[in-house]
Amino acid sequence: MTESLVFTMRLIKKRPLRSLLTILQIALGVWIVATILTMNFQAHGRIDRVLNRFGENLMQIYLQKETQVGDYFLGEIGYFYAEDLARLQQESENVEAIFTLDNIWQVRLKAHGLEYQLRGLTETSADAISALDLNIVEGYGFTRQDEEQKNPVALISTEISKQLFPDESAVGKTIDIESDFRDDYVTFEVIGVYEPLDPLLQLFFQETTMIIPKGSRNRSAEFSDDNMPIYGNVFVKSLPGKSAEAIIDAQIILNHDDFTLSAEYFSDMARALSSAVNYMTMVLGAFAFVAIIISSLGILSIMLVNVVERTREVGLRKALGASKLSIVIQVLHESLIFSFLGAVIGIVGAVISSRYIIDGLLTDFFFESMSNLGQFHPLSALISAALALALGALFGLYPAVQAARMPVVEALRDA
Amino acid sequence: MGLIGQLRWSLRHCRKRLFESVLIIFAVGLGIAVIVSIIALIGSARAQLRAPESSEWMRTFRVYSAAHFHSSSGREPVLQVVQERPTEPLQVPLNELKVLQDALPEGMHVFVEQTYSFPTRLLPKTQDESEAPLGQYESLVPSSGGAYVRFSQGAVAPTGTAVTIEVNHEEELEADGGEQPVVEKVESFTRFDQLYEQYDSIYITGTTPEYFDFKQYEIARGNLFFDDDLINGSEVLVLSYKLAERLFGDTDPIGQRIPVELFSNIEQQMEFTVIGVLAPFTEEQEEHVFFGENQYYAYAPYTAIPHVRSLYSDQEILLDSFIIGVDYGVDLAWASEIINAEIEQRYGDLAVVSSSYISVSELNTSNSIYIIIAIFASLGLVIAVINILNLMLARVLRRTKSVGLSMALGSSKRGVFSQFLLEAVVLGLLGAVTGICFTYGLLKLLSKLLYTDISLDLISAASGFGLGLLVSLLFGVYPAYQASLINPVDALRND
Repeated sequence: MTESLVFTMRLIKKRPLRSLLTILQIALGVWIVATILTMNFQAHGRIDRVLNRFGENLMQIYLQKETQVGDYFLGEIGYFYAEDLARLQQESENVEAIFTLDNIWQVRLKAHGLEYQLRGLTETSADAISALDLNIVEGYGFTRQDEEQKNPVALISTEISKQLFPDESAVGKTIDIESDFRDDYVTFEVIGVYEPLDPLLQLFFQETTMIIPKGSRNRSAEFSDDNMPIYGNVFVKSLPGKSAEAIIDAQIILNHDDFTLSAEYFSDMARALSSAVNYMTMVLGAFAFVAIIISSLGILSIMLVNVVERTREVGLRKALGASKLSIVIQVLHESLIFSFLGAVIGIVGAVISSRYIIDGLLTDFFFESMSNLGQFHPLSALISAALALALGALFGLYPAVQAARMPVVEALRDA
Repeated sequence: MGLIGQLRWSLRHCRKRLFESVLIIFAVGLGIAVIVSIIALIGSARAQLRAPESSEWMRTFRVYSAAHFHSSSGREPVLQVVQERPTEPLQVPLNELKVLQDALPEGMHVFVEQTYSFPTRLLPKTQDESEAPLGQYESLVPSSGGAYVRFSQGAVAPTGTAVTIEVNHEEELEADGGEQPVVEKVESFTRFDQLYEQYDSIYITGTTPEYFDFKQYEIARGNLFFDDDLINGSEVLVLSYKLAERLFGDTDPIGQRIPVELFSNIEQQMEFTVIGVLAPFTEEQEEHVFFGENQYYAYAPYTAIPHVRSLYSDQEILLDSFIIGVDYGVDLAWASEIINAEIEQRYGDLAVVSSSYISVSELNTSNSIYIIIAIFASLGLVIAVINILNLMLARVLRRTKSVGLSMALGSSKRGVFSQFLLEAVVLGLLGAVTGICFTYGLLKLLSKLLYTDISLDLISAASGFGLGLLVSLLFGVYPAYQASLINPVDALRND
């Protein structure tokens, strides 16, 4: 066995350029397969993580109606009243939490004397923090009491903490945040630092987000009875397995005027994304398929050439009593070694390049929800290597049989 | 040996190792097929999109007030230290647009464009839209204009709204007693928010005369409005062809008066006088008007729009944004530079220029996806090419003896070189032919999968052929060179 391997290695070394080119062919095929598989696995991994974390329970609800204006139907989005939402939370047995998010995409803030522009500020309720299962790495989240009293307390992401307060703990520091009244800043105390949620959940608590209690930024704004606060972005987390019932409860309590309530499940969104990823894998997989077919044809033809070139040598070995099987094995060894070396090089290439290729592909197609997925996936290495070896064996078989079948006399005569 | 002879010789050699040659041809064919299909796909996608410069969006540069302008492209850092942004809003007097217009080179038009919708009594909705029964009425309170009605279902209704109704039985509408009649038709609403349900709106764009130069709208009848109309705030209207047709049919629209409803809840009207009608929009122009083909457009001097007037009453009108349109054919990169420089010089950091052209050219710098797909698509051909190189080298090696012999018999080095090169070219060209056949099939399949018609055009077929030739030349040269280096003495001595 070892002897046969050593012998094969010597044959491979005898034609260095040819062997190198053959290995390169296989490496390229393996590279593209490993890259595309990694992309698929990483994207699905992120989607599955989100599905596992929230299952079917998280949904966004909204009110809408359609009216006909002229020849067109205009969709109109309705708002939720704060008291209705509170009533739903109290009365429904199927709703675990209901929360609102007010996102402000550009806000100014001042910290240690410098003025910054922040990309995301979210005003929300204490329930959102527990419902979304936010991981607070330092300090603590705000409470319902903070929310009721509109206390100026803030939660910041680890990323913001790193940028604003490098080398020191952010908890206890103060940040001035611009209110809706021009040139009016409110001083907030940082009470906690959280780990940003998965980028797939783009609506919630990303690395760019700072979280404060509802209304704490504009505390002086008073709401009279006929000017109640209204909300557009409302999210419901139902108890496990009760999502349909929760929607029905919500419809009963929250429908008003001509608006009807509908819900969008996060699991549905994740699944839609997942099928988009599958589609992309299919399209790119076609390239990979063609590439690997061509490189297999490459092994096949080069092994045939090898066998023909060694006609005499094979004849000699047979004449000296080598069995057909040992000749088949020897040729197969050669093609398997090519495949193996090619696979190793291809995988190393994929590990190095996946950072750029996969991140580029996914972010260009799916924007930030699929960013930072450039890590190589070990399973794809395993699969692509196995594929290369299997193809090596398969396409090495014909030349091997060809060699074994060679009649001894003719082989020796032929030069 | 002539070219034909050489060709025949090459073909004989290819036939001699038939299986091997077929494999090469197949591999090259597959590689070329993938690339040519991608070229054809991109070509068909391009044909569907109009060239970007020709589209009106790309040629429109908007000037905003920097104080109100938030730039937000996806990939900014989380936190950005703010450079002082002006708190003062941009305020450009309306007549300063003329000055700016003169300062800019030809082919650029400075104008304002704001569209407002006004219901007009000239456009009552057709019957079948309001004929649907509203349901049973629940209560009825007589009033001067008709009655207050509350309906049991449907658009629960204009509670507290004066309506005139028709009922299906000729019963008296009394609060109690008798069967409750079904309300079949609502004759008229008098409150403003119901005006929308009763009348169609016309969409009036408040603008300046330069607007028509940019849009290149043709005038069919009457006149456009001019600078005088803008200064005086004349209540004149230029109608789109469709609107004129709908409003006046065959009668001459010029000089007609169009009443429109203003401000919600207050019954207030004003009248515009028609001074012109535009020629029918071309298909391309229709894509760019606000709502699509069935809407009714009209254009008035910006100063005639009541909303604008009420904001500034007697003072000078100040704009916080306006538009600079660039004619088709003007180099957009150059135009963008000129406009930015001019705005910067006039308004400093108070104003921000934005346009699809600017954002698209910013986007284009991060188009990694095309590079990646190009790499993926060409990978098959690269592998096939390596394969050709490999096999041609093997052929040279195998035929060392015969080459040595033919050289000893008087073949020149050049002859040997061209012989081997020709062999590679023959393989490459046969591969190209196979590739084009594959492409044809692949595109048929893709057309079915993507529900679009992608056909193999001459250019992509030719490019496939060229690719095959190029590739085989490129990778035939080295082995052929190797062959021409063979020393006949060594070759013949060598076993």
